[in-house]
Amino acid sequence: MLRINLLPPYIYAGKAKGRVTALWVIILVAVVGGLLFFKSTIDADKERINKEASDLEPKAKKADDDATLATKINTDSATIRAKADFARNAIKHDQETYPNLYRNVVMYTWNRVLYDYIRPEGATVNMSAFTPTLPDVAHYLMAMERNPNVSRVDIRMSSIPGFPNEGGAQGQQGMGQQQQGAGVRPESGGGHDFLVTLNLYQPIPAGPTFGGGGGAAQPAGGGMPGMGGSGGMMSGGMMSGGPMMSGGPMMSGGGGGKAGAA
Amino acid sequence: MGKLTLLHINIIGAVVAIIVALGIWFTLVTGAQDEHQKAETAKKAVEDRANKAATAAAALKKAQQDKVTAETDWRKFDATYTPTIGYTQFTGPDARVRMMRALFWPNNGKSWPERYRRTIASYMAAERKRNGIVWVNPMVTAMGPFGPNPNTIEAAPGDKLGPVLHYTYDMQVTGTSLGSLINHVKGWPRITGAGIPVVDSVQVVGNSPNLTMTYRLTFTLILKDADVKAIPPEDPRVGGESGNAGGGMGGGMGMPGMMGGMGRPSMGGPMMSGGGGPMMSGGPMMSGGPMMSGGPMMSGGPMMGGKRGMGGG
Repeated sequence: MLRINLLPPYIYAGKAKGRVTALWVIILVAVVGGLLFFKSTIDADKERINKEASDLEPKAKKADDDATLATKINTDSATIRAKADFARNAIKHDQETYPNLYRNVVMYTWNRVLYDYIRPEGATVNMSAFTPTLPDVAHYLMAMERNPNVSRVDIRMSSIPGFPNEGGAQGQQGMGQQQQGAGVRPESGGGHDFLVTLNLYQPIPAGPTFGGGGGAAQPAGGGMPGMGGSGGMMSGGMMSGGPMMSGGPMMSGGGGGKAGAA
Repeated sequence: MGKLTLLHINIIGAVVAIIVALGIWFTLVTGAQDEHQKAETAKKAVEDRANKAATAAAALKKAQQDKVTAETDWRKFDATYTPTIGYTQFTGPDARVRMMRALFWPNNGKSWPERYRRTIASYMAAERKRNGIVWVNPMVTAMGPFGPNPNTIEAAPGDKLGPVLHYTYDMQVTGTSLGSLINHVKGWPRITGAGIPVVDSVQVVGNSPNLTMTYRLTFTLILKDADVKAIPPEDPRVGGESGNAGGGMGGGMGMPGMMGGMGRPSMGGPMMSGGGGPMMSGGPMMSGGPMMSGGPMMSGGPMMGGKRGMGGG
């Protein structure tokens, strides 16, 4: 039998509205609950992070303490460290800087070269030199240019003879050489004077200072006798040339080594 | 309620749900997220600090080692190089004056300049035996008069009485070989009781065996703490300044045996009063061969220990 609902729809509307309302209430509760749960997870994670941070704190504090203590020790000991460093550097400077420089120059010096002075200044070493023959100058150049501490070797000399005119130049050439040696060099005459400038890769370091550095030289006693100009030392009878001409290196004996192989 | 349709209820439900959700989100959730972020930031900071633990420990260890090394080394250097000027022996209201009289006026070899010069001269005498080095210009270590005012005394130029003193000398020595001269330079750290030496501007002139070397020698005296603390305070009741008479660099020039007759009082006045100019540059006196090579001059003892010829004060 066919069932026919003759009741109007509004009869059921109240029930439907109740269900929909309940549904929205449930939805609202779910939303609130979800958000609260979400917040609780955030809080839990935050607690975990805080706990981890708390666990790390002692290590971090020790690191801080160590760093602070290290700084304090460094600060407290700065003066004595500066003193000790200065003394160490001064000793090292005295024992190495100029001795090594001179040793290096001597090591790369051709053994038939006679120096009249050696003046290290800044990044250069200026020297006055003498050799008995022109080939010795070339040997000197070849030896010195192999010096690993020297970037360039500059030589100034004026005794290189010109090319003779045919038939009449022998005497002029000989005269040119003898002029250089006259009066200063071996009595036999001859030889070549030249000035050398060694350009160093590294400037000669200045000595260390402490507490403002050294003042001016003491005025008492005056200047250096005999050192006002090199002329006195260079041109007088002091330069007898004997040692040089005997073949040995003038300054130390170390000139033969590498230079000889050059 | 009765008049509300389903549409109304849905709209109201949705709006309320959204409002409540947003309310909760922007109050509770975002607050929690902020806290979470702060916690993470804090943890990151702690981690960063903790990660430096190894570095900090190493830095601490190094600092401790450096300190120990520096203290050990400095004890050694201090014992070797630092002289005692002797400020500690003066106390009381007139300490400054008594200090001046005892330490900075000629005092039978007991004053500071006399003792200091003697130290250097002794070393150079030993160098002569060791390396055959002849000190050509020992007069460079002479100190001028310190004047009558105890408050303006400078133990070294510009350094007052301490705690650090610098003495710089343009030295000239002769030797027979470059090796001996270089050994002389290298040997300066062996000196004791004269400060820490620094050698600079080394130049060599001449030919073997007549080599002359010049260099600038700077002594840095880092005084002992006890000496520094004992420096007598300035005495406001005493003043004065050096007069013209008797000035100049008397000490070195008046030494008997070094300059021969130059140290005699009759010679001292006029020669020294000019600030040493004529004599300092005097070629004849300074450059004379016999004087430079004279053994007795370099032997040090009597020359250095004797009274200062001029006695500037």
